Amino acid sequence: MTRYEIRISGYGGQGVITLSKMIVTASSLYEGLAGTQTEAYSAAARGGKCWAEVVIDLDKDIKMIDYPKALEPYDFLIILSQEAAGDIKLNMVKKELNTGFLIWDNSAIQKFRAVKRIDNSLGIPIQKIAVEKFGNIVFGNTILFGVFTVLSGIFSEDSALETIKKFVPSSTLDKNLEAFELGKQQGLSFLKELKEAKA
Amino acid sequence: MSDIGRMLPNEKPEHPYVPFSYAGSMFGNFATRFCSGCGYGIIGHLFTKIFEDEKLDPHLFPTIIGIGCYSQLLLIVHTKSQKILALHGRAPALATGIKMANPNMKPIIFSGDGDCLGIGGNHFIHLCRRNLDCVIFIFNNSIYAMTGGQGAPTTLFGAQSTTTPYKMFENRSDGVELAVAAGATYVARTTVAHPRTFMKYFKKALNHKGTSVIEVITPCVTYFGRKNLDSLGAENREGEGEKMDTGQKMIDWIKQNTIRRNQAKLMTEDQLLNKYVIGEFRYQTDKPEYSDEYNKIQKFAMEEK
Amino acid sequence: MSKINSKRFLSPGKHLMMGNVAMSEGALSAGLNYFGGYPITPSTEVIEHLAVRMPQVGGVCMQMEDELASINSVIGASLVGAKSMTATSGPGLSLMVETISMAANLEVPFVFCDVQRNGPGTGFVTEPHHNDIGLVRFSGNGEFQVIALAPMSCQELFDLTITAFNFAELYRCPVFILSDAYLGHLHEVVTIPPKEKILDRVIQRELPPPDEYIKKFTYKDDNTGKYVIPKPPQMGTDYCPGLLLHQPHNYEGLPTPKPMQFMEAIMDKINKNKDKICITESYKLKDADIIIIAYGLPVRASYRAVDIARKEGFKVGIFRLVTVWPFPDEEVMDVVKDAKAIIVPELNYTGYIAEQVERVTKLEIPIIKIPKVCEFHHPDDILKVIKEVAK
Repeated sequence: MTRYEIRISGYGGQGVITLSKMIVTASSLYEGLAGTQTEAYSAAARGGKCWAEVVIDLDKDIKMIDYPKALEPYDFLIILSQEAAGDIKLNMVKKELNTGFLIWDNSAIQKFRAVKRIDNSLGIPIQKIAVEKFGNIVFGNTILFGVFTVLSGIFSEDSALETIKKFVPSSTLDKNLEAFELGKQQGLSFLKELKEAKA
Repeated sequence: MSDIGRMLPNEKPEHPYVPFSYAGSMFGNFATRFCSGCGYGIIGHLFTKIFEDEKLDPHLFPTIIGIGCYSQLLLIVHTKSQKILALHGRAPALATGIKMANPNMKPIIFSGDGDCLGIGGNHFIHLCRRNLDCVIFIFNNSIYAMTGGQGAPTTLFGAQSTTTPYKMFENRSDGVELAVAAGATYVARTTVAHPRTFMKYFKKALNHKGTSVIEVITPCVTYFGRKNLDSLGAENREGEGEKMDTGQKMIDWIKQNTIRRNQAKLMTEDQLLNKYVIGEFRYQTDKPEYSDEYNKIQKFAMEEK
Repeated sequence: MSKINSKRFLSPGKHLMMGNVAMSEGALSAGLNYFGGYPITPSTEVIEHLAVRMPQVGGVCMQMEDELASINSVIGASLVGAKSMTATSGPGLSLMVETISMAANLEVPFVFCDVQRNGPGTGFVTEPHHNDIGLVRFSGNGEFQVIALAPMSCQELFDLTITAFNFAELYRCPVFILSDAYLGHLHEVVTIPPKEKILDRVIQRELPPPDEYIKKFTYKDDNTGKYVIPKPPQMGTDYCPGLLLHQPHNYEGLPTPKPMQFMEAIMDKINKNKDKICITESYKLKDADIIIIAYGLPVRASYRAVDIARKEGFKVGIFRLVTVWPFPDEEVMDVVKDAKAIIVPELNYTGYIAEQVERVTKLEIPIIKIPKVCEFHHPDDILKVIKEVAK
């Protein structure tokens, strides 16, 4: 039993829920791990505090997640809106060696106090890149998915690519693969930074 | 029907459609619990007559009966028609399920004024809105008769009932206007004092594809007639007149109180207060019918890859 | 049913699905032909999904004007031979109860998916709360028995929906699926079996042979003393009484001067078949002296709690109720007779099932409720109680 807790929050319609579905698809459909995803719905899915949670059990023998809601502290936290950033506290992210990441969008969030004291935090101007480079905000999802694939390492790159093929329309597949690659590079360079900092 | 006149004075008149009625086929007579003077007997036998004469397929014309005095109609309507008693006010909803699950059917719904314009008003509106192929009768006796004479949404202004013991002061609800506004495609009103018109409208409704609403004004002697004067609805006669305590008096009152639609056009609103305007209010054949439209959707969805 | 549309079945294999969608797909596999519903959080995805899927398979999905209309249309559709279903939440269920009792007395089969949520119509719509357990059992005026199944995962939502349709066909009573706001919105992997395997399980709606047309309602066979439940009548065929009355009627559908016989038939057709209806599961019960009795989502947490407790040397086991109603009295009695204590984790404050256990055990064994409202049990919550009890 090794639960891996993931929480994503941001604006409704930004792709919070799609990203969470991509993560659970890659890990439980293609990688065969037990996983659950829950999301905000109805009135809660509107505004800046839309959220989605994913729980993956890294132990292959586990057939079912016992407690389907993600528990604090999280292994992986993605924050995409100012409103959601306001709720984040220091102890919400795990303080272990290879886990406990906080990814946030520094083009959408101006003020994020907690972030300075969380070690494994990475700010990427996701919205800005998505709009400027790919022309649509939805590509932010694929960038984040690339970052997640590298940093979490719970599923292989092949599973990730399969997932992208399943989720995006074939007309924008090339652009999405490009975005995924960009996310991957961001993730890899962040890992390098972390290693150097620790050394 | 024509044989009735030729019977001897000591001979018991027998309705030629008795053998076809539910009670008739079981007991050989009109075993109903209707009060004397009630209009539902007329309706039941006219329905049975048309069901028999038009040779309606009982498998395709289910009868859905709401709750009210007319629920007893199931004893005298045609024995072969498949009858189901629906909950109070929910007959239109039940009919929707029947029609949609088997689009070959054409449900015939019996409902009353309390059933259709009171508790089931919403279902009635939406049945008309969808223009679902069915016939819906609103039997309007302007009173809640089965529960003992309480005021109904259709009770006339100034009338007495057990829940309006001083006088009825609410505005009257008009089933026909409601049906027209909601989008039913064949809307008519008639009374039991005009049986030939009733038959004409019913036959027309059977051949019409779409929601057909027929409001039938029917007398209730026991709970409406005995409490109210025949001056109800007549101009400048408030407080005068006699109580309508027999079927004959009520039928006369209904005849006096009905106005044909073309005549009503020339009358003012004050003159029409408490009057029943009879006639056909809408007959529109080009409006799409719901189950046909749904069938198109099904075909589209089935072929879609 | 002339030809079964192949679009009814998803491709066999693994699919990632939301609970509400898994339930809808289960219903489609079971032969759902008519769905009448009204949107209500958290059951909305069912009607949304079926609005897409039903026309594809030649079925009908109607969005009615309110809950009263949707349940009545479901009864109507079932009467003409369509397998029908509705889905709603607690506030919708409380509007529908009048019709449920009519359907139960008329022995009209239908499946009812109750995606439970907290509180009244103005409550927390997105929080799970098993507060309809009591309402489901007594869901209407008049006396009748219902069947209620409580799944705990998306896979079970798929499988148990097929079971529910089969129960509805066999026992001709309302069959409830007790989902909840959390289960309905959970995304999990569901393994869809091949089409042939599903079809083997499904009981289709058929007419009986013409010589059995007289008996249309449940009756007691005088020779064997058993209750015989004929196939559901269909309007528009010869196998239908001329008059469908929801008042005491005999097996022909005619009003009966013996209401007691009718009542016995309605109640005992379920009570006497409990051995076939009551599905239960046991987990490490053999030598257990502390027994957890649970249903629905809390079972998931209980499994983990028991695993941990067993490692620490506590003798704990789980008795899981897949069928919540009718309550399996004899089985529960048999399981708990040597127990030191019974723990009942429930997602409500009342403890509807705990009350039933109290009734069965005649209060001779201590029963510890673990009530939770709007959030569900963490394994640690249950573990804590196990340790306290074992002291």
